Amino acid sequence: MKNWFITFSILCVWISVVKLDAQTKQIVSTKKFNITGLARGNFYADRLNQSSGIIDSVTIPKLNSGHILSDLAFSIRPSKSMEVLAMARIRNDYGGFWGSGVTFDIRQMYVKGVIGGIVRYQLGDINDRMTKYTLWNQDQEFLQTTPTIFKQQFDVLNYDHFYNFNNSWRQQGAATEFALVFKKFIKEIQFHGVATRVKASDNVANNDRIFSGVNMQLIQSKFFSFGLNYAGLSDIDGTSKNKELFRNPVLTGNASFNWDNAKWEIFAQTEFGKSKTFILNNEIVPSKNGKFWEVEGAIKQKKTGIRIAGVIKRIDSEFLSPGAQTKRVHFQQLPIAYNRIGNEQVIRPLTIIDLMRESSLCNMQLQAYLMDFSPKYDNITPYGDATPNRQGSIIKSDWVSKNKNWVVKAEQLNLQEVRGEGTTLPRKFNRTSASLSYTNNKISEKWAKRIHVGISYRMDQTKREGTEFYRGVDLSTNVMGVGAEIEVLRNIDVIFGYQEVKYSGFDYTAKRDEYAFIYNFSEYEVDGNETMVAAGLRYRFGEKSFLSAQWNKFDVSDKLIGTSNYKVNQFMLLYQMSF
Amino acid sequence: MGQFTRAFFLLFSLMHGFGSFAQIDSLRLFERPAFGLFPKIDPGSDNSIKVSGYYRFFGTFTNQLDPYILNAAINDTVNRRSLFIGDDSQLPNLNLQVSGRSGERSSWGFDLMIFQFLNGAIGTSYGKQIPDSLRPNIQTPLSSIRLGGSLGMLLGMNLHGDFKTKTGSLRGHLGGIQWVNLSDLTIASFSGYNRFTLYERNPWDPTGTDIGTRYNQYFEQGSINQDNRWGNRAFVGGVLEGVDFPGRTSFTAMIGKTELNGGFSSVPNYSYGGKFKKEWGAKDFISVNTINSTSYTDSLALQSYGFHVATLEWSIERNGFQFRGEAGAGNYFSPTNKAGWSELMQVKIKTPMRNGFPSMELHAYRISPDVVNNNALYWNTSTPEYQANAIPAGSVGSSAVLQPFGSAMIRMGQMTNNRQGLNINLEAGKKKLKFTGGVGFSSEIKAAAPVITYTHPVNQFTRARFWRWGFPANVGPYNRYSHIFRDVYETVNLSDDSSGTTVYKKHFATLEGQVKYHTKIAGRDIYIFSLTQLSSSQRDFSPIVVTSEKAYIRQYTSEVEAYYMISRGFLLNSYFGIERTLGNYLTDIDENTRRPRNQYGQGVGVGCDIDMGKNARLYIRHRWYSFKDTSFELDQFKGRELTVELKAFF
Repeated sequence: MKNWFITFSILCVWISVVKLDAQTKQIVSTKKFNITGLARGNFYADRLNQSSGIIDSVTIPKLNSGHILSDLAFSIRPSKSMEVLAMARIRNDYGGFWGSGVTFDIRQMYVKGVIGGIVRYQLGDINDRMTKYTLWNQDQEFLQTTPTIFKQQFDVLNYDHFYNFNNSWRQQGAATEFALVFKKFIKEIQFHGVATRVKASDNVANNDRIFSGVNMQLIQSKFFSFGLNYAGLSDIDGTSKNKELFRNPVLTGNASFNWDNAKWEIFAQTEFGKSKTFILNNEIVPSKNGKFWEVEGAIKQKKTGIRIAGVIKRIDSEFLSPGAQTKRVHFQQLPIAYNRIGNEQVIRPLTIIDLMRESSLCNMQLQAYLMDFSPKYDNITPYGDATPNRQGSIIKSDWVSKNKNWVVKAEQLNLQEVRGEGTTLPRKFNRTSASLSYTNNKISEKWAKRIHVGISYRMDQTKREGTEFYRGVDLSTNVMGVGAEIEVLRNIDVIFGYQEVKYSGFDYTAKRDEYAFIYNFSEYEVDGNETMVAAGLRYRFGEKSFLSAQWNKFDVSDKLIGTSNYKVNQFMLLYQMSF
Repeated sequence: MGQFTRAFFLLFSLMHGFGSFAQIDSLRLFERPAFGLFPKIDPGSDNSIKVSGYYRFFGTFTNQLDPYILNAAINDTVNRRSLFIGDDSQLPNLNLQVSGRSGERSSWGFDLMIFQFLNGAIGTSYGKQIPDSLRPNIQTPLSSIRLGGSLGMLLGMNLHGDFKTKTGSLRGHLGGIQWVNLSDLTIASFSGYNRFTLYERNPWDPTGTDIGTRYNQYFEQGSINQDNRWGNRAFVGGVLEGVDFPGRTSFTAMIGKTELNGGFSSVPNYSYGGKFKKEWGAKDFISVNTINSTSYTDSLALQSYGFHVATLEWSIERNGFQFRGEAGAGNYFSPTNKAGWSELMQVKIKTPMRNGFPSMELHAYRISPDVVNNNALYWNTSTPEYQANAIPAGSVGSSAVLQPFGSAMIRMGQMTNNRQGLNINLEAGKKKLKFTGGVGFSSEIKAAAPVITYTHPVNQFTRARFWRWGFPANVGPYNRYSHIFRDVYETVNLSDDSSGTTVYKKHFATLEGQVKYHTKIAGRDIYIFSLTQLSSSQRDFSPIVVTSEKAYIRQYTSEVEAYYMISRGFLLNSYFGIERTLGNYLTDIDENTRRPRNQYGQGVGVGCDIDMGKNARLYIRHRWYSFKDTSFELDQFKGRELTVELKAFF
């Protein structure tokens, strides 16, 4: 008891203040009522051209659609330490007259604030992120390297579905955070907690499913920090008649080290942990236990701006972390535009143009098990950095010029499966990627215009030797992107983009049961390519609004499926402003 | 050129001449300019728009130990655990009240309500995209879905206008919902003697200036701040009020719809009424009040149904003694009912609290069984109301609203038709200790249906939350519970009829007492409130509660609550409630035990109120609840309930 008291007293003296992150101490604006938001108008005109040689008398070749919408966020501040935000979406679809095409609904609502100047909280719709292995909304395929002209459409999709730049997940629940500041030995300990409802009970077969996360980050100094993270997805017992309860606790630790002097900067970080996935009250389904670790080291020469990093990692095949592995795209969904084509009305598989603009493919909620993916687009990291059943090394380097105009990046990824699927032999993955970009906001004194050009290339290969009983795996994907934005008149840019995805080869895809156990394999063979080329004009009204008109030609050819050869010409008009 | 000049001057003169004959606008402020863009001068504006309202997060987590039967017909039971974010269908998370003035004497306002259930169904917006097939035709855009499900209006839109004349002031209201109150027997809602528990908050309760205000006010003043709806009824339509008329007269006239007229049928379905009041002295007045409702049973509007009530109300005060009353007549007419006009009246005599003597109020009333007006303080328990269809209340398509639900065991001050009774109420108090209580008894005027209904005060809201959203009737393990807004009542069937004909009149007695105590512990305020209610329903008249087997139903409840202010920002609270309900052998008998009702209810709660800054509070309540009928073994439940309410006004 005495020891406890002494320890407590020391701790009280040691801890000088309890504080919030500096940037979140107060809700900045003092206006009681304020309206912010975004307004957008867009129009699509598509034309489908099929090159099968037979006239398609069933599919309509031309489609038009569009809408004007306004997201009005009513920001209300009952007091200096509290804000209530409710955003209404008013949408008028193209073709509506006299109110017939109008929808009017709530898009988001939350209350946030600070309790006693110490604890920050948010309740309602929240955006939350933890680490790459616990809660992380990884980008969808091709987003990182796609040229700006295509990114405009990606941005519309991402804004609508709350896919934020900071890779946070949109959730519904509550989150809180605070920090303890110390005088000696330790600089700060930050605490963060979140609890959200992923699925509501239907009172019969589905229980309430809750995601909960806790994060403690100890910042010893500017050199060293250490963190503990917990992320769990679990069903609440008794909220329906279903006795089976999904459980998936994920526990990780992370540490980082920074050091620099006048010439060099050294950085190292690691994250390691484990997960357990099991079904309570079901003795047939075995539990899955998975571990992972990742270590990254980087060195940068300040003078040249060259940075080289190396990563080694191992993620067990049974490591499951829904918060980090859930994908943005439902690959088992089908696009709504030209859903069926040809006289036989075959279902049209989704393509890169659909990934760029189809709202119906978007997933907005954490999924308990691994979602379907498309091996032809990404067979190596379909679930981001937390993709299970991977081990190996990654070497990365980048260079940023002193004036920051030039950025060059290169990456070599050598991974293989931890455990072979259907065989003892693991697949081997190889990815080489490089990108170069040049940005200048003032080309010269005489020509004070903005220019941005970029080129990227990615080459993926998956291999596994075959035997007399099964075929060998050899699947390759090549992705190339070229983009340019050139300001020709004041605030008027000519924009151009080209993207090509080539894929060919063979692999097996796993068939999984309702508990994600592999029970069989399907043969997966592709040989085709998809290209998008687009050109357009953009007028920038200011930092927060632009008008863009672009013409886009999409071409897909598949040597194995004749009905999948077609073209789509797209005209798009997009006017967007935020306020 | 000369011709052109002449023609031009001729034309100019002609136009000027026409202009001279133009009608003169008597309100015109400026000389009308000849041509160009209008207006030439900015007309100016004194418009102002204000936004106020509240945010309310309300979450309930329930842990139920046994699967209590909600609806035996579909084998629906209470889940062992339940997490629900939100409250009832009329109680949104965010309510924005927007109001504006177009001048000193006219104003307008509307509200927006927003729901959020935090059920994880995340989309680009809360509502689902409306399928193209359900979108309205552009020629008839009103014909289909237009608005999103999570956004709407709660109280609607109102316009207000003030007009001052030499003889008096007029104030007009158009729209709705407006909250109106004419008199107890015409249109008003029950506020009783302000005896209730504070532990469970109403959704519309204010937060107060600090966390202790609510409890201090209840102790000191005997009531708490309520919002506009308290004591009033919702009304949609036009209301004209006149005040300060000669001879201290005033009036109210209204036409529109009460909740009972709700619906969008174009067949007329409306209420109208009013009040004319004459005042004199300090608080004396006399007024004539009326409320009337007319609806039609058929699409040709040939057969009507509804009611009329007209009363004379007065209040006279001398030396602190108040003599108030209201008396009149009313009727109910429908194709199946033509009983004609009958009487209704209530009289209240109140003595002042003086020289240590407590204040006493005597309340006598008599409401004929043929007077039906569910807008007033008396429920209809005797006259079958007309139904357009025979679908039971609570079912889809039902036209049944507030149908008679048997003779109810009611609280003091509440009335029903087919009832006459007397209430005696006492109020006394010292600095630290206050008491309010009374006894009441009443009797049916004529023997009505062999049915008694009663509610369960202990765990009232918890029990009501078993049935969310809908208002099903005759559900529960023995099909005897009916869900109404934030309450559940139980129906008792009597067996002392004669071949289906009710022979005996039912008599009721009730006793209520509330003790309030305020002191300080460790320099901090503590408030303790205790509320006890005893009531019985029996075959024979009794002025006091019958505690023997002679009562059909006996119910005893006692609730104690304590509120301790730990600091200016934190208040601890606790609650204990116990309830006992017994039936005799003339009521329902269980087939297995061969015994009548023998019910025990209990609730224990702890919680806290936390100050979250100006106008914002966090209320946490945890309740252990249990209910058991030892005779009817299926009628029992036990569990825990956690409620969290975050409320902020702005």
